[in-house]
Amino acid sequence: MTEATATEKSTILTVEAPANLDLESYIANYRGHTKVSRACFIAERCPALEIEAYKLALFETQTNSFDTHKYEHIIIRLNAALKARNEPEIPVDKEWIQTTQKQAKATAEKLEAELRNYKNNMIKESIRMGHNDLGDHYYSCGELANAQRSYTYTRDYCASSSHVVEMCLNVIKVGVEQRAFSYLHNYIVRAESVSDIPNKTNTISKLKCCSAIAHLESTNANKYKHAAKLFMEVAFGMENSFNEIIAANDVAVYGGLCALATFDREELKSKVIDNVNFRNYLELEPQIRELITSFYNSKYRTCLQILEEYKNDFLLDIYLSAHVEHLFSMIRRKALVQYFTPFSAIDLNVMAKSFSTNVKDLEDELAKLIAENEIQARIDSNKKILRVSEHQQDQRKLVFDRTVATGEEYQRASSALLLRLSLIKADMIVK
Amino acid sequence: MADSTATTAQSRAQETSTDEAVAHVVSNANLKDISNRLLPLLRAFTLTTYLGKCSNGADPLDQLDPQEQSLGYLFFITTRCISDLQSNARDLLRRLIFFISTFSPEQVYLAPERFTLIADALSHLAHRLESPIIPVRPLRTAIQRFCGDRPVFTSLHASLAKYALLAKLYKDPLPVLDWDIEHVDATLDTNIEGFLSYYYYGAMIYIGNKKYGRALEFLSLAISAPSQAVSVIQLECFKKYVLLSLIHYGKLLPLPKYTATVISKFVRRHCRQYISFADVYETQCIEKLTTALEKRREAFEKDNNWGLAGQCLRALQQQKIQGLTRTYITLSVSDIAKKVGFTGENANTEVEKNILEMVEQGSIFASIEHTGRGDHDEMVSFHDNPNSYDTSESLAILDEKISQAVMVGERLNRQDKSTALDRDFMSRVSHL
Repeated sequence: MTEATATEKSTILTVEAPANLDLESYIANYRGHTKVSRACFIAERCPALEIEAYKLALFETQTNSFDTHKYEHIIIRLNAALKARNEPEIPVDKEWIQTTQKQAKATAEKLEAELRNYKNNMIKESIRMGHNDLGDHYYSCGELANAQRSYTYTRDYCASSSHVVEMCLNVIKVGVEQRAFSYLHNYIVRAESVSDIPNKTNTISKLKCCSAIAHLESTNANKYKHAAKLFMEVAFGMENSFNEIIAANDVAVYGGLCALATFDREELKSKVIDNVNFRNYLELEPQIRELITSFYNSKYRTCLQILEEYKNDFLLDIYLSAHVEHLFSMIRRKALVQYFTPFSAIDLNVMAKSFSTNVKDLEDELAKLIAENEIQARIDSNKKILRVSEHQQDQRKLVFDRTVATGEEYQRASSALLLRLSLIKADMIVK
Repeated sequence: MADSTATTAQSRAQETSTDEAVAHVVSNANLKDISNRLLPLLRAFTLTTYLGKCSNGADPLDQLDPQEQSLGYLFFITTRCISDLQSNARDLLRRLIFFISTFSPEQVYLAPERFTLIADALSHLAHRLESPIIPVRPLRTAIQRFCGDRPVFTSLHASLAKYALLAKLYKDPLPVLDWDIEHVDATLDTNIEGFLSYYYYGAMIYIGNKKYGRALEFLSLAISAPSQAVSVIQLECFKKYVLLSLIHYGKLLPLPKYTATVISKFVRRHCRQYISFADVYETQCIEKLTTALEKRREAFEKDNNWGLAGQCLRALQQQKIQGLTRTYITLSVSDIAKKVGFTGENANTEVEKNILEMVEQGSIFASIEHTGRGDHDEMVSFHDNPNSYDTSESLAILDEKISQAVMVGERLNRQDKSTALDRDFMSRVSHL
């Protein structure tokens, strides 16, 4: 976590206080490390919530983990923030650090000794448990690489499908925190392919969430669509049982935004609006539901307003933050394209009003869309009108142009090849 | 048989007089005699034999017929042009040009290394007469007559391109350059250096003619020629290739996939300036490109590519204007300037100039409306390309292109068949 933030640091943007975020209840939604990660994430980005968020993170770290490094890290940041605001600093709890470190060390030694013992006795199940306990302990201490290693070791001692799933989920949990998403994929697939998964729908839903998050972080061009599809398939039964990584509200937000950005009208209707499962999630985040329905009903102005209103919230989400701009622009572009679909010509002034923007900016936006072939139209900048281009003729011409070009290319390539053959045959080679 | 003639010819050559030489040439009339008896003799004759006069004082060139005794004439005339500084250059040039337009290709075919000397001969005469345009047309004729109807690479191709470039005669060599070579033959006194230079100079000639697509083809042929090492010519070709590719296609085209790996690795290492320039170009930002250009000024000037590089900037401007035609029906000149990235006081006039130039070239179809009143500045209306392939001419062009393609396809098939049957060739390819 600390490494990740260090590298991100250069590009961190500051976010103004979000209008709709209640930090305490937001953080209370989560369990485990993600609580601290998310609080820190917010603190780093949002000066208005910085102190509160760091305090929450500090409290969580001190009460529920052995991670003294993280504690020190947070308290340094917190005190720096307090100092900047001329508020009294919080004293470092040296005693806690010492006892915790001692305790952590003792526990690690004890667990390792036990594991050695199990190994000597060759009891498979005990060895697995031993590795697992050690992994849990390292995880609690924030030593992610060690935790990952211990969890991975249990692989050889898995006797039942529930063991395999447990192992995979543990590895995934640590992997997500390390943000090593590309590596997660193997374990997700592995867990999914287990024959009789215990507590099936729930587990599958968890895996889908992880997979979707991993997609978000991938470089795949269709990542948002993949992620959206996966989120749509998450069963509502999961609720908050996976909140050490993702809360039910997040499923609604992530899924809703990704779906809106990538699904076409039909998919939006069938996969989102009519999706009973997902509708339950949407109930948790009514603004997302409104967002989607307003978009579907072509009320783009409302839709864009909601997006603007919640933008800061989204920017403070640990997984969503990096994608907000991109998703927003995708949604906006889709809205523009859909708005224009039924028309053959439209006054830009009217259109600008519907998108609460001015004609000049709209013109630029549309120009970009046309250049990318999203809209088959051209702008009459003099009269401020967007007109559909005569499609038919263009197509025919395009085919001819392309044919001639392909023919010429073929001729050229063939002649070049013949010449090349002849050169080789004559042994005329650059030596 | 031929060998023994050669040795005896050599021993006799010392004392051969010009008279005897002329007699030899005259007495061997049919092609078989010429190749078996005359050729070894001609190759063995010394300089004095060729430079001498006949005993009756006549010029041996007057005694020979350039059409009937082409081979003999070729030996005499080339030696005279290159080594005889006494006789009248203008007279020699006249004879040489006459010879070039009448020689019998079959005879000349027998001594390709002598045929090569025609280029030297012309260059000597051009030097003596101080007129660089002299070699171009005769060389073109020589190549055309030597090849007949088969596009074969001759040893004169490179010289033609080079002298045309030196004389700045960009149009004259086109009939030869436009004719795609499909065959090379090492026995015709050709080599790979000549091949590479031909395509390099040829590309420059096409650049002179502003036929960038064709120039790119030439450059790419030189770069992708089969190689086990890298020639300096290929390196220079690649530099021009990068810039031209940007000017013509707006991006750096990949090299043909059969380009030798040595080449692609080498150019990547040694043409960083160019490749990074192409990267900047692809950002489509005029401002960035301008700075990038200035930064590389020294490197480009050193390579004599500064002019071409400057054209990249113009190409990008025009490319962006072209892009606007797809997006807009009308747009004011100042908006175009803003969108394309023209800055400074003259932005608007620059835009207009560019548009006019592009309309002239036929790359866009547009009209500019000068309303004359201050509040609304000049509007540019973009029209569709009126050529929608519904006239008989465009269909005829299409037909012609189809038949050309079919012809190439047939040649390719033939080559494919013969290659598949050639065991020698197959084994060599597997070693390359």
